[in-house]
Formats: sequence, C-alpha cells, structure tokens
Amino acid sequence: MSKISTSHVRENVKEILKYSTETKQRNFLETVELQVGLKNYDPQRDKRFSGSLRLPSTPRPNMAVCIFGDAFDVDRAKSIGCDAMSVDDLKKLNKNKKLIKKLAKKYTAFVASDVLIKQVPRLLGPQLSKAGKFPTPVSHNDDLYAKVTEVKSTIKFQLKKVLCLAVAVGNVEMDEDTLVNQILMAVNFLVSLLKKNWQNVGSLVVKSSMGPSFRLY
Amino acid sequence: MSTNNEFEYIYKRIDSEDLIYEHINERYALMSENAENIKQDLGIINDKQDKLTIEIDYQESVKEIAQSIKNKKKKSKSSVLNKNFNIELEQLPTSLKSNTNGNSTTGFVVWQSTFFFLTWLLKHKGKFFLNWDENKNFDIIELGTGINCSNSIVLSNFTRNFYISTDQKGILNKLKINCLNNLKEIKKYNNTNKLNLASLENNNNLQQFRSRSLNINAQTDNEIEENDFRYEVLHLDWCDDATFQNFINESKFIKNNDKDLLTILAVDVIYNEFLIIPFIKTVERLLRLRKDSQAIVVLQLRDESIIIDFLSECLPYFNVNVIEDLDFSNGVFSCSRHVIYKLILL
Repeated sequence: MSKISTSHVRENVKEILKYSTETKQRNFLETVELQVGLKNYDPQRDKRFSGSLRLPSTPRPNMAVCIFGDAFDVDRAKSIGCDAMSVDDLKKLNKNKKLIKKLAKKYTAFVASDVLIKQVPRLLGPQLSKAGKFPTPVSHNDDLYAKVTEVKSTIKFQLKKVLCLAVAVGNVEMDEDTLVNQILMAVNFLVSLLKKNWQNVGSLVVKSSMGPSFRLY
Repeated sequence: MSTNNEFEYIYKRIDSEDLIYEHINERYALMSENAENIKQDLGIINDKQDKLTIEIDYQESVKEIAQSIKNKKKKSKSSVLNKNFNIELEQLPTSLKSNTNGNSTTGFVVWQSTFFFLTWLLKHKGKFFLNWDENKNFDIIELGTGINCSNSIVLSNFTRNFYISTDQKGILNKLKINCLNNLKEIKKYNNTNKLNLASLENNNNLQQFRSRSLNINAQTDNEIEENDFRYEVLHLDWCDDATFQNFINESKFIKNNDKDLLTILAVDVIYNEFLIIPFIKTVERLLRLRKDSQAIVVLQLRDESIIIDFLSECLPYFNVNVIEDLDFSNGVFSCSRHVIYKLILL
C-alpha cells in the first residue's frame, strides 16, 4: 500500500519543473534527487539493505562512467565517446592511493571487460571496493553503449551508518509523466527494502540540484 | 584451491586482505550485472503472514541414498525418505515491526538464506562440503537460529549424535514451538521415538531420540549414550560470557566424541559490525571443543563493508574458504545474493 498518491507526486513534480525551467533556469542539466530520511531503524544493529533498481529513463545522462577495457573494449569505448583505461593505464597508477581515490571520485561508475574483472582489485587495490564502486562486467558480445546506458540508469539504495540517503531519479528535462513514474518506482522500491516498510520512512523529499525541496511524505 | 568437477563447486582459500577485496569485487560486480534477475529485498520471506509452509525439494538426494543402500545390500529404507520436506513455521512479523522490543527482533521472522542454503545442500550436491563422501558422521551446533527451525529439522536427518539450535532467550519459545510442530519431518525419527540411520553408515542402527529442552525422552544427566540422538534448543548469547558457560554445562555431550565432525552452522547472522567480534570469539571457542571441526557461515550480501570487515576479522583465527561455482559467472551463487564460507581453526 503506497502512502503517497500519484497526484500528490505530480503536483510536486510540476513545481520542480516550473522552478527549474521557468523561474530560474541554470546553465547545466539539473538532476532531480529523491532524499530519504529513515526512522525506527538502527543501522548499527539492523540488517542494512542494499538494492539496485533500473529506471526506464536515465536520470543523469551526463554521468561520468569509465571503462576498464582490454584493447577491443578500449576501442569500442572511444567510438561511443566514453572514457576508457587499458590495463597499462591502470598499472601506471601503481596502486597509488591518492591517484586511485581521485579516480574513484572522478567517475560515478565503472564498467570493465569481463576478462579484467578479477584483475581490477589486484591492479587498483581496495580503494574502489571501499568506495562501493564495483565495476559492471561487459563481454565482447554485449553492446557496450547499451551496457553503459544500463549502468547510468541503475540506481542503488544502500543503507550505510546514517539514516539518510539520496538518489538521483531524474532530471529537469524529463517530462512530467516520466518524472512522476521514476519517483514512484524509486519510492516503492525503497519501501520494499525496508524491514518495517512505511513504518521506517521518516520523510521523502524531492528537489532539483539548485531548486527548493518539496516534501512528498 | 580444491576442485571437484563432479560437484561443480570449488573451495577458494581467502588468506589475505587482497584476496578479500578480490572476492568482494567479483561477487558484487556479478551482482550488479545480474541485478535484474536477483531479488533485491532485505531477505524476509513474507512479512505479512504469521504462518508459512515451506517445501524443500529432496528428490535428487533421495535417489543417491537409495542407491547407496542398495549397494550395501541392506533392506531399502528409501520409502521413509522419499518425500520432500514440508515445514510449517510460525513467525512474528508484528514483533519484527514493533517499536517497543528493541533491536533483537531480527530472528522473529523467516529469512530466505536458510532455504538458499538447504536447497543448495540437498539438491546441488552440497555433500561436497559436508564430507558425506568420506562417510564421516557429523554433528551440528547452529548459531542465531531465529524462529526458523528448518535447518535443524532437515539436517537432523543426517547428523550423527546431536543437533543444537541456539539463539537469544526471547526467541527460544517460538523456536521450540516450531521445532515440535515439525518433528515429523525428521524422517529417520519414526513413531517409536527411534531413529533409523538409513543415510549413515550404520544402517539398521536405531537411535533413541532425546531432547531435554523439548522434554522428549528427557534424561536427568547430560551424558549421551552411544545410541542417543540429542535434539536441543538452547540459549546462547555471543555477547554474554555467562550464557556460554551455561551452554557448555548443558551440552556436556558435545565433547564426548573424537571421531565425528563438529559443524558450527550460522545463517545470515552477520549484518552489523557490532556482532562480528563476539560471533568470531564464540565460533572459535566452539570449534575448539572437538579436534575435527568446521564452521559454515551462510550470508546474504548486503552492505559490502560488513562482509569485508567480517572476513578481515576472521583471518587471524581461521582458515577461510569461500565456496564458488566452478563456472564462476554462471552458477548457483552468481545468480543469488548469497555466499557460503567455511572456517577452520588455523
């Protein structure tokens, strides 16, 4: 049983879009974020959920993705305009903590040729895993562009030690229906992950990157 | 690394921090790849109903047992075993969701890891790691059982001397009720309270089923007779040393035996940092009770940092092995959120 109605979400989405496209348009594509406050949940004691959901539309088309590829995939990455690093590039980092942290920070997600998956931690050490950024494997038979889009469209809800979390669910260039749908999907998915479902939800807020926030729940 | 092609699984030793990260990276990478085919929820089977009926498929294992009995030219007992397990469980979803009884409520509902483990064990030739091959008998102590008695009911069919389920005090009453409701599924245990060891080497031996905690054929002392099978539900809180001593006092029968393998079983009990050290200490003490012992830890992969911390803390105490699909990217584990570790004292 969802505790928020479509019409309520729609009203708020209208406000967000109105602010970002009419009141104050920015020089970049604003992301629409869902911010969640949980309650009655003790992350020190309770099971910490972790779940990924693929949204129908990519919330952040400009999200930075880097491909760790063998020769074949590095070439393919270039042809689709995606950053790529070869095994030699990774070796050059020489497990330097600072450089690898920088790399982990620069990109939101990583894709790796499936043959390299095993080597990634050997080449880069634990930094990427510590940042929770596990590369998604891609095989030569997969369509690389589709894979990158899939990675960009997948949002991850993961409870860490604090009771708040935020995920990108869309952007201000999306139409109203798409945005409403994405938000509802994300909310319902989140609630399904929670031990006490809606009883664990303290607040749900949506906002664009620079705009005011609107409370859904 | 040991391989066994017949069983499609390998043990991979994890003996350094690097290998922990390699292992975690591999598993989580696969999980993100298979995200659409893997359940993403917290792992509760059903949080609406108070009663659940679970069926566990047992066909394949039955055939093997029937075959082995036939080979030994003993009278076939397969009819006794030729059924799936039907387990009826009462759970307390309202207690899980209540805000009043603190945080020790996790065990009040049935979690899916148990059934992943049992199905794998029975159907996918899990005897590989339970040493059924070597015809070695084993006994089990389960930690953090919760109210779900399924492991004890199913595995009591294969254990030699005892199966002890343990948890915190508040959970034991419901667990005992579930145990009593499902004793019929301990198939070697027939109406005369005698056990038939059809699946073990001593065919035709009858065992006396005893349980002090459930008050079945209870004896006054804690000794175990050669032909007794003890099925107990006991209080064991990892954070409380006194309960450990009590547990040992009530389970004097554990030590009695040097030939059978002692297995400590723990399913989905590592999910916060707070529990890791007490758990490891408890496992270590229990493993020392017998010369021949192992711990099997089944986990659902959630927050990766917990798994990394757990494995790192294990390294100084245990020889840590992970069980993986032989075909790593396309197997039972890679299409799940579950992982099985085997720990042996260093």
